[in-house]
Amino acid sequence: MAPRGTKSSASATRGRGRSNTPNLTPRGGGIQKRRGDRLRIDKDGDLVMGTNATSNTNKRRGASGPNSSKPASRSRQNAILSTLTSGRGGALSARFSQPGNLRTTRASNPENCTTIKITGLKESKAANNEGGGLKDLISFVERKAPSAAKLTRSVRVKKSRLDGPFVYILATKTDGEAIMTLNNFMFAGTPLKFEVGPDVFNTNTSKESLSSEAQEAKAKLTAILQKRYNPEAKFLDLSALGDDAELKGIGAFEPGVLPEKLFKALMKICDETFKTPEAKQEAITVVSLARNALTDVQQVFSLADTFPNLKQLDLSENRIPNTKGLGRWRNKFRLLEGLLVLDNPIAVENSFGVELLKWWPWLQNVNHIQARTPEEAAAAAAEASAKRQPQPIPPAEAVYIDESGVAETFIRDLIAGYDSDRTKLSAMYYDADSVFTLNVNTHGKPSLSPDEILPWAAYIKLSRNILKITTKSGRHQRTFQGAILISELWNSLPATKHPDLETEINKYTIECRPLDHVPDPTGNSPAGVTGLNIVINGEFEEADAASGKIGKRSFTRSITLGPGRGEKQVRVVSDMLALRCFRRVAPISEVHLNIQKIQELSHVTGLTLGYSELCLGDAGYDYQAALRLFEEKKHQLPPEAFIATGT
Amino acid sequence: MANINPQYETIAKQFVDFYYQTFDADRAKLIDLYRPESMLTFESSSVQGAQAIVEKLSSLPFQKVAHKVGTLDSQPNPTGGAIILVTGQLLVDEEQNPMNYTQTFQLFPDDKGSFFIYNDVFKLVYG
Repeated sequence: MAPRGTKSSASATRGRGRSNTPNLTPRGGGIQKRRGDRLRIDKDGDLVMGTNATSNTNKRRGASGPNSSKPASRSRQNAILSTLTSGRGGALSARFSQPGNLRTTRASNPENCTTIKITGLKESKAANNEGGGLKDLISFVERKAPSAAKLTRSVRVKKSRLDGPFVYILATKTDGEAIMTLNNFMFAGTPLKFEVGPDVFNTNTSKESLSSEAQEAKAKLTAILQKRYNPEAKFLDLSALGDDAELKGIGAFEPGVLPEKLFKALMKICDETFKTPEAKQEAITVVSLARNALTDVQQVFSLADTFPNLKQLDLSENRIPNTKGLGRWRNKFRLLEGLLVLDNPIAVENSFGVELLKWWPWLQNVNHIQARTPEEAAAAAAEASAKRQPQPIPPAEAVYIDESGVAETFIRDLIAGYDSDRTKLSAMYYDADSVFTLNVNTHGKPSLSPDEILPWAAYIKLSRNILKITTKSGRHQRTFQGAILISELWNSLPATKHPDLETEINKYTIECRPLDHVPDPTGNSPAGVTGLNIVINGEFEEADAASGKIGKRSFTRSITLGPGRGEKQVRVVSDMLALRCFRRVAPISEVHLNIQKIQELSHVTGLTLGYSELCLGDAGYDYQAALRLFEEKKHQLPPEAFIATGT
Repeated sequence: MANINPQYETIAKQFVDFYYQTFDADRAKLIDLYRPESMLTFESSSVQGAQAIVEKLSSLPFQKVAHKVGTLDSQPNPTGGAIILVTGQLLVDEEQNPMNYTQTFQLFPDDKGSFFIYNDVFKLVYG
């Protein structure tokens, strides 16, 4: 947990050296010593791992699909399974209901329909009938409801589905009301419970829009999943997909159809079958992806999205070379307890387990070896969960040394005060010696629609760009010293609204460092004291009074803080503001990733970095989308888009 | 009390000219501008010390680079040095589309009468 606001917690979160030195102390020594470990970019290896994961993902080209050349051996008792009851292996589960299984009369308008959950069928004598007794139950409902509700007309069940102990039915609102009167009626020796249920017949699924071929393929995939699902063991066996004759029959391995696409289709059916995370967790906790010729988890990545709460995973007999091969799943599977990677190159690495334990806090058993106790896992999970809490200022990677919380308090006051009450802000932190200057960079194209682009008129005359303002007097005129002058100036500038520091911190990057020789207004330390230098990159909304337009600008603001005099604990020594047209500032971690993506795309495609950046920009920094875009457009690109080869 | 260098604007201008000229010609030579206590924050990563900083700069994924300074503002800092805020554009390799950046320097004087970079915060501004 990283609670905000208290000084001790703020420093604990940041954990970057400076054990006990307050910021605004008389200077003298210690800087070097203190600097020891404050520079760690990454306190828990996140960045490093992120790098690996990304580059690995991006580098994989032509990795083999699940077309394993090895014969499938379904009989191989997979080790995870052996720890569980195998029960009725491959038992059909009505849960994987094929489209045809839905008792569909005609497309129903969801607005006028009610979903009802019925409990009790499983306990009834009808449960042993064909289809789990679902048909019998539905005809019972349709037969009994009119009389129970004292209706003269018939009642229809539009759709029905058996889902474990529950039956879900869909009926019109009025029929639904009639059906609800059957609550506690006896059916085949058991009282039935009727409740208005969740909308499991999600009418948004695009069944109607699927072509008949797609419908057919989907039905086949569903049937395949059914065979591979063992509800007793909560086990979904996705091993040796490449050897599945039925899968091949669908044509999923025809050229041009990515195995990844196929896997995603399987996952989508799982998503449609088990609608909520709870339902998935209830149904499936063990998955095997053994014998799929995987060299990394790219093709099967969506497993993590569909089954985030998986407890056991078998990746045995694949070709995963090292931990990088699993990197994309690093921040997934937060509840994973057991992993098998037997008969993979990675298993030869001695240390791979250590790395994996860092990734997955609940992981206890790797390749049948107990790597840590449940208690140790619980402790690791608690620690990981603390780290995953949203962090206060700043983003984790930025240099930010503010043991006492002075800068944090100031930044909050600055952002809020500049938007709401600049006179008050200037009185709080600025004194007769404080200096403020601003400059504007009018070049560049804003990433805004034309009616949001603001004129520079309000600032341009004040802009202290010393490349252009070359005279001493011109520069002096644009230097604002003293709280009163600064406040006057600010109040003449357009009103602004900065993004919220709590909820929109990703729109800022904020850095903070101690700075020596800051003036000591008490005069006790003639050589000056240690203050703080803060650099904020961010954006704000601005209303232009003349045109009535509301637009955005980007800014960089560099502020030096020092100790104050009298009532002021802290004062601004210097405040420099640079404004430019609005360009989205990516969150710091995203920028880093984006740079990697640019480099990788350039590497893979031969595009120059600039064109790679353009391509990724057009694709919203989705690497795969950028690759597709490149493939689409590569013949239209000019020669200079490509890095010249060494000729 | 603080030591304000009356020449801070000139220093800032000369420094910025020299810095980018050197950066664009041979960035390994920037090592002379940093000291062991210097810190560079380049996008998301921070490094300390002249050697590490120059290694970081040298490892950047471009061969040719050209900085074009758009705005430059400076205020004196109490060390007798200057705070410098630059916004500009960056062209790398054969690229025709510049990237925008902002960079903030804290210059400190050394005991030989010249200046070194105490703090260097570089940020690309993506669209």
